[in-house]
Parts: sequence; structure tokens; C-alpha cells
Amino acid sequence: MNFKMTRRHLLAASGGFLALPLLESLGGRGALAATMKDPRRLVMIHLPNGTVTRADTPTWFGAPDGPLTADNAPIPLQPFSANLGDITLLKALTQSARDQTLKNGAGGHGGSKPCFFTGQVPANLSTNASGISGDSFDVMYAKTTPNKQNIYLGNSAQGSGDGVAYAYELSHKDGQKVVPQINPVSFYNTYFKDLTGSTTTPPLSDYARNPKILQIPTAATSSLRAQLGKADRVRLDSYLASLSDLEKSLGAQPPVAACTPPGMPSVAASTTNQNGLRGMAYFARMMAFNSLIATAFQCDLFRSVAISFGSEGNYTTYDGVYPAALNYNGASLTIQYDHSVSHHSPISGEAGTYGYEPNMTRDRMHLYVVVDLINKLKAVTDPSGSAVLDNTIIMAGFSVDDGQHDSGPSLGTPMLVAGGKNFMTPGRSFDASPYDLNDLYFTFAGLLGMGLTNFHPIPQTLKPYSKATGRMSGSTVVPL
Amino acid sequence: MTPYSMQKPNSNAGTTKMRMIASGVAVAAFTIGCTGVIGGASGRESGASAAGATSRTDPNTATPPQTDATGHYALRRLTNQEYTNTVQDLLFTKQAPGATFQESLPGASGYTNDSQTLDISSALVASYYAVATALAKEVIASKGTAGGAYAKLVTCDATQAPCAQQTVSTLAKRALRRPVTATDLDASSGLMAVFSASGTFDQGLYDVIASLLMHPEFLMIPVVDAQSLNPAAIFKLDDYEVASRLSYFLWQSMPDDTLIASADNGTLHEPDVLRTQVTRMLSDARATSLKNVLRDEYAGLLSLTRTDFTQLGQSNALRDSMVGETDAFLADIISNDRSALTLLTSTQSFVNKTLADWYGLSFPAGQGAATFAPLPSTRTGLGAQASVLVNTAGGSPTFTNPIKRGHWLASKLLCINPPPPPPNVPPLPPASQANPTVRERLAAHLSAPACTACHVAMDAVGLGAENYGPFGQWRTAYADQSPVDASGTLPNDGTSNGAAFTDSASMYQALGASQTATTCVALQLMKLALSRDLSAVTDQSVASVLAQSAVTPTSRFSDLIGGVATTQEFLQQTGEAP
Repeated sequence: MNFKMTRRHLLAASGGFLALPLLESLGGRGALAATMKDPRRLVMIHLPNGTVTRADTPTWFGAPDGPLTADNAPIPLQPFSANLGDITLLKALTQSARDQTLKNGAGGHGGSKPCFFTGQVPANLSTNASGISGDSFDVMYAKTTPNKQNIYLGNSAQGSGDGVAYAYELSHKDGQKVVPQINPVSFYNTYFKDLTGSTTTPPLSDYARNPKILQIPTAATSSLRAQLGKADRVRLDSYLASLSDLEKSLGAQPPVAACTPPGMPSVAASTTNQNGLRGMAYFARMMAFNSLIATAFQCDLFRSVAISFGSEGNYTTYDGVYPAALNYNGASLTIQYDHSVSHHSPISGEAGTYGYEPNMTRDRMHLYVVVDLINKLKAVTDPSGSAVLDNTIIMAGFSVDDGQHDSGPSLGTPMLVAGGKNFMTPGRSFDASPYDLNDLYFTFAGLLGMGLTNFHPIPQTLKPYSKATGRMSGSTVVPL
Repeated sequence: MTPYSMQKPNSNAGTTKMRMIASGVAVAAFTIGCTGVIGGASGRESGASAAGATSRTDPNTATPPQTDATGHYALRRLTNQEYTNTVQDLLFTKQAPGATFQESLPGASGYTNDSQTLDISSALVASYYAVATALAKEVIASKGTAGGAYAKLVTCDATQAPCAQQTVSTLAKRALRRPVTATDLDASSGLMAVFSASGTFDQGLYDVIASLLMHPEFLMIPVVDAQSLNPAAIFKLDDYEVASRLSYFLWQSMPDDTLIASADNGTLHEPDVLRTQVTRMLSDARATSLKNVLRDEYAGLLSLTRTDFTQLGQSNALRDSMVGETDAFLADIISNDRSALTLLTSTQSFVNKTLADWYGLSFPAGQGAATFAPLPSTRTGLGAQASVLVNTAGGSPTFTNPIKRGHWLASKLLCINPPPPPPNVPPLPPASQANPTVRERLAAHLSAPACTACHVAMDAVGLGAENYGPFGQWRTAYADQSPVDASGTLPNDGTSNGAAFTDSASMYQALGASQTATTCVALQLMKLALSRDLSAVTDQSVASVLAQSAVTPTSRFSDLIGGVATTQEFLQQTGEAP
């Protein structure tokens, strides 16, 4: 590994205890001003169905440790050479919680997914709840940002054919899985419809004008609750909690940040896509989400976003309508199951061709959406004048790699970290195998000022081994 | 704030009937070991079955099947489609706001109205609020438009003091689907307090609409009773609760004035009145919603309508023709009140020119090419229609997946509901010299203990449909010229010993004669009516008895619906632990 742990990394990871002189070393007083003034954001993206990283296929891990360039970029990143300076590739980041889950006997796809945002080993996978306790990392950050919503977006919710735990066990809040929004129009109506520009004072909301609009339904819910049984009360508790969230949101100070209200996403973007075709409707929808995220960050409406690009099941297919430049080695995707594409070998009952070439094309399609978000965050600015991207951590990765259904030896799972130039140094590739996914979250916690002393630390007996560091107890800072 | 008190102003259950849940009738269960398995038509010797048996010759005078277990109709929110239909009926809007909410997905019952899957999230509630204010705004904006929403909601002189409470009270009764109480309207802690806060009539109406659209009894379908907290209690729904249950079953919307008037009279729970209302409602245009649910969720065609056939080498006109056949078929059953058995036994098809050509049928001269004309078909029942066959073929333009077809046939036509595959399910072994055919590969798959229990039934009927190709065409050989072997036996349900069949055509004919399949027709409608999965032996027994009288060659669709609506399962509720 070429990167050493520095005082800067350690201090940056220590959250609220940043020392001013060291901060100056991050990039001069201008950067300091930006980082002190601008909010920091987090975007966590789960890329579904894993990828191929076998030793006998050139895929993700060909680049040497060091700067990413057009000459050494791994296959999935090659179409995005203009953005290599925004991205760091963590090669073979260890995912111990996932590994332990698989050792417990769970299948690769379903078993690995609940671990991804939570860093925990699920208690069970035999029901429709994984038994994950507490919060996933995105929710933990959201809880440190008062009056800001945490947003959960996705291309799919759980479908009837997805089986238990396969679909949306990513974000967890208070021990409960969170259902993602899959419709940009609905997302727009919820958060943006009534947004006004910075030059206009937003009108008083209906709720602020007349709180009884929601107080009466809240009282009625409490009254109704008292007359129902246990399970029905749980349902009403969920409604009461949601009403409370809504009242807090509506009662919060209206946003006045310098931002331009977005337009309503096109009707095409409202098409839900569960188990359907993944053509331009898919791209339109995901990019509509990206546009809204960029505006929301600029307006400081929320600071934490979790996104699932699709189901971990079998049923998403492609229809071949995507930029042809993304095809790797002539491997175009037509009628493919996303699940099948992630494997070397044919999967029973699933159509399509297999092997790493279609997989690389599929990965490029994922990155096409990620890079779109990068560029949209780059195009908007914070009050300091810094690009929003430079104050945003984007992570995107897989929860499973090849080998679950195939005998080929896997080299590990890739993880991308992008943005955050005001407090990270993107544009690199390095061997991340000595670090765990939970270490990455711990590192993010420091950069986001969350004040954590650890994040579900992996027991020393399971800790990845590094020649340089050996096995370290507790959480470890990843040099970002 | 004064607490609300839920009342039953017109409860026929004024004397809550307490009964201990008796042991159910004896029903033979499937023996394949799968969970969620429906038993056959046993239990006929019980008192429950005897009651149903008396009605076989005249379902209109049938006494509903009687059992002592009614189950719990869990509190649930409206589905997105129900939300849209309800606000359209309530506020006369043409908007479809439910389409912008997170998608409602089917639950264990197979339907999106399954109470167990209709979660409520903060994001959804935020969406509800955004829509509520938008719809309120639309109503106020229609002021001055003849026949507009405002004119329909404000039927008195708004400058006169009594008009406010009259308007709010009338709207609230429709929105909450029950009579409003003094507590509901209280001037300090009720809707009149919401109305009065702004000081103007229109702003008050706007605020009341927004508040009512966030009211739990608008967004959800509750059943309350003093015995709700007693898990041993069985109590009757009041007539307003029956009205809501019925209207959301048949219309996916709120009760209309006629239904509410029947509840006002206190007669809606009477079987004759219920059957009259069922007949009326099925002939109403709003019953189109029931047809759509059966098309999208029973036949499962929602995903097909979203599939781009051009990517499969076919035209979207063909896709639309296939969906159109099923749509017309279901509409014909409902609007012409045909027997529900038609779902399994019909040999009539509704085809346009495109589909007639696809099926190899002669399309009658003089008909418009886009017209869906009724024609004799060599196919039997809904399951043999091209739309269903394509949708369950597995998504490939070149081969079929018997497991996926088998899953649909088992779950929808036989009510065998396999659980989701376990996370570590091994893949189907690839074709090999030892196992060259799909039948042999499936057999090898079945040798894995984890797979056997559920696949026995699924694979039998899935392989039985192999004479139909990926796009539903009849075939006797695969693309590699190897012969199709679609022979087999229907799953043994413990009563019929599993009818044998030689090919796909005879399998569908056997399904039409299967007692398990006819019982399943009744059970599917019960699941939809009760918004929950029905795996209890007593539920299946009720369905079995119901099917014997209302899923027959001479019965009518309204007999089945009326039968469902007069079951104790529909009209009663068990309490829950507090």
C-alpha cells in the first residue's frame, strides 16, 4: 500500500475535534473557509447484484496503487476519464460483516445486502426482516443534522419475486428497514413543489398558518389507537410517528439557501420500474433523482441520501437502450437479467449471455448514473463558492462479488469514494484490503463531524491483516 | 383537546356477540409440505359445510357458510389505486395522485391490498400531505365553475352561518365513511376548529379538506368495537364498516350515497340487502376497478403492460392484444354476470385481428381490426390465454421456464403458495448428458431436500404448460426439435388423487374440473375481499363450501361475490390482544 496513515487522516476522522492549524493544511485558507462554512453531505449508493473480479479476468483491479489516469483506469471507469480526478477506487475493501453472514449460511445476494449500509451481521434472513438493530450509517449521519430529512431513493422496492431480504434491506432506522422512494415525481412533490428561490421569502406553509390541519388528525389517530389491538396499534404508531416527522419538517425554518428551485421531473421519469425494463426510463428516473439531490443539497434541505440502484433479485432486465459508448468489448446488453449479468455461469431460468464482458458493460451503466450525480454536484455551489461536490462524500459499491455461484477465485469487492475535495484527496486507486467497510464508515464519521469513537468495530480475531499494521483493534481510519 | 371517541351510531352489533373460537372443521390438507397450502373440499361433514350445502341449487337464497373463526381484518391504509379512486369520488378531481406514491406491492395474499404490506412511512405521509393541500387548492380554484367540485361540495349559501357546519359535516361523513359525531365537529378540538382558524369560508374549507385527507379514518380502513381488545371476542361490523369493506372490495373506492343510505337504514348486514347491493355495484362502471385488479394482480399482467415487446422481437401491438383479450374476458364475466367457473373452463376468447392471427383463428369479416370479438377457442380458461403464458414464461423470447409458470399456476389457480426461495437455493443444474431435458433437470433439482416440498406441485403444473411456447403459441417440439413432454398429474390435494393429463390442453381441462381449483377461485376473491392471506384451515373450508354453490356451471359471478360478502369472515371480526 502506498498511503500511510497521517496525523491529518487521524484528526480528520476524529470529527468535532479538528484542530485549526491542521485544517489549514488541507488546502489553504480558502478551503478552510469553505469547509468551516459549508455543510457536508453524504450519498451512499448500493450497486446491485455484485460484480466480477476474478483473477483471470481484467476488470476492476488492474490499476496500480496511485493516481487514476486514462491509461490505467479499470475497465468500468474507462468511459469516464474526465471524472477520474473526482474518484478514488478502493480495491478489495474487506466486508467482514458480509463475510460472517455468508459463513452463517446465507446466500450471497440476499445474505450480503443487509450488511452493506449497516455494517452488522443480520440476526436472521428467514423472514422479511433481517433483525438488524439500530441505524444504518446514513441514518446515523442524518440524526446528527437537525431539521434535515434523510432521503432513501431507489430503483426498486421489494417485489413479490424478490424473496426475503433480497430487495431493500439497506437503510435501517431504529431497527426497522426503510422503504425507498422509487418515483422522482413523488419525491419532487414531497420536497420541492413548494420551494421558492433565494430571492423570495417562502410563503408561510399551511401547517404553520393553521397547525390544527394536522393536530386534529393526530388526535384522532391517538383516539383510534386506544380502541384497537396490538398489531393495529403498531400500524397506527407508525402513522403517528410519520405525522410527527411531518409536523417537525413543516414547522422547521423554511429554507432560504441560494438555490434555484427545480422543475417537475418529466412524466417519463415517474414510471416505476420494479422488475421491468431498464432502458431510458431507468436513466431518466435516476438522473431526475440526481437533479433533485443536487438542488436539495444546494438548498441544504437534507444532507444524507441512501440510494439503491435496483433489486438484488432476478427480475430486472435491460432493453439495450443506453449509450453505446458504454459497451465493453462489443458486449451490449439487450434482454438480460441484472442478476445473471453479475455471474460467470448461466443461472437457471435466466436469459442472456454471461462472463465478465457483459458485466463490465452493466457496471458502466451503473457508473454512468453515478458520474451524472458527480457532475451535477460539481455544477452547483455552496455559499462559500465551493462546489457542492467538494463538500460531499459519495460512496458507491457492491455488497457481493463473483464467486457465490462460480468456482472462480474472486479478488474482492471494489468500492468507489468520490467528491469531498475539501477534506479528501480523490483521484486515486489503492489496495484497501487491510481495511474493512466498517472502517470506511468510521472514517466518514470523522470527516462528517459525527463524533463517533468507533463504528461496529470488527473483532480483532476477524480483523483484516495488514503487513504494515497487523491487526488493529477498534475502528481504523482509511486514508481517503 | 377533547379525546375522540369512536362510536357506532348505527351498529347492528350493539350487543357484541362473544364466542370462543371453536375448533375448525376438519379439512384435509395438502401433503406436499409447503406452507400456505390450501386444502381441498373437505369439511363437508361439518355444520359449516352442511349450511353451505343446502344452498347449492339456489345460491341466491343460500345461507352463508358458517364457521366460528372469522379472522382479523387488520387495519390497513388505502392502496395507491384506492387512494386515487377515493379522492376522485370524494372531491370530483380527475387527478390520479396515488400514481405518484411509492408503489403498492402484492403481499402474501397475492394482492396489493394485503394489510401486511401496506406500510406507512414518513415519506409517504409527506406525500399524502403534499397531495392533500394540492387537492384542496384545486377544489377552491373550481369556485365559480358550474358543476365543479366547489359547487358540488358547497350546496348552501356560504354567507349564512349554518352553511359552514353543513358543508363540513357532509364532507366529513363522506370522507370518514361514517356518520360524524359532535366530537368530530367540535368547535375547539374538531373540524370546525380547523375551519374557523382562518376566518374565511374558502380558506376554512381548504383547511378542512387538507385535514380530512390526513385523517386516519380517511387514509385507513378501521374496524373498531368495544371488544377490539379482547382476542377471544368475535364481533359484528357495523353497517358503515360493511359498506367500506364492500366498496373497497368491488370498487377500490369509498361507498356511494346508496350504500351509505343502506347503512343509515341499518339493513346492510342483511344477506338479501347485501346481495342486492352486490348486484348493483357489479353493474356499476366503478366495478371496472375490480376487473383491473383481477387483470393486473390475479392474472398478474401489470408487469406485462410494462414490457417492451420490441426488445423480445415482437410488436407492442401484439402485447396489447394479449392484454386486451384478458381484459375483455374479465370484463365480460363481471358485466354479463357469468359464472366464476368461466375463469377455469371458458373456451371462448376475445381477440382482435392481431391476436386472431397469432392464435390461428379466423377473424370475422366486418369487424374492426382493433375490436375484441368473442370467438371459440381451443384454449381452456384464463391460464391458457397468451397474456398469462407470456408473462409467466420467464422473460426469454426463446425458451420457457416451467418453474415460473408453475409458480403462477400453483399460487393463482390451485392456491398453493410456495414461500420465497431460501437465500441459498442452489441453481437449476445445467443441461448435461445425464439430464438433457428440462424435465430431467427439474427432477434433479427436486432431489435437493430444500427444493422438494414446494417444487413438487409447482413443477408438475409448470411442465404441464410446456406445450405453450414463450409467446403462448402451441408447440409439440422445442427449437432443437426435441419433443415436448407436458404430461403429468395435478398435485394430489388429498381428495382428488391428482387427475392425470397428457398434454397442456388436457391439463387446463383437468384444472377446470378440479375441486381444488374451483375452491381456489373462491379463495382468491376472499383474499381480495379480506385484504389478507387465507391459509387457515377454516378459511379454506369456507371457500370450499362457497365454491360448491357459487363456482358452478349454473352459478353467476354475483353469486360468488354475494357469497363472499355474506360470510362471517366478511361481516365479523376477531379481537386482538391489547
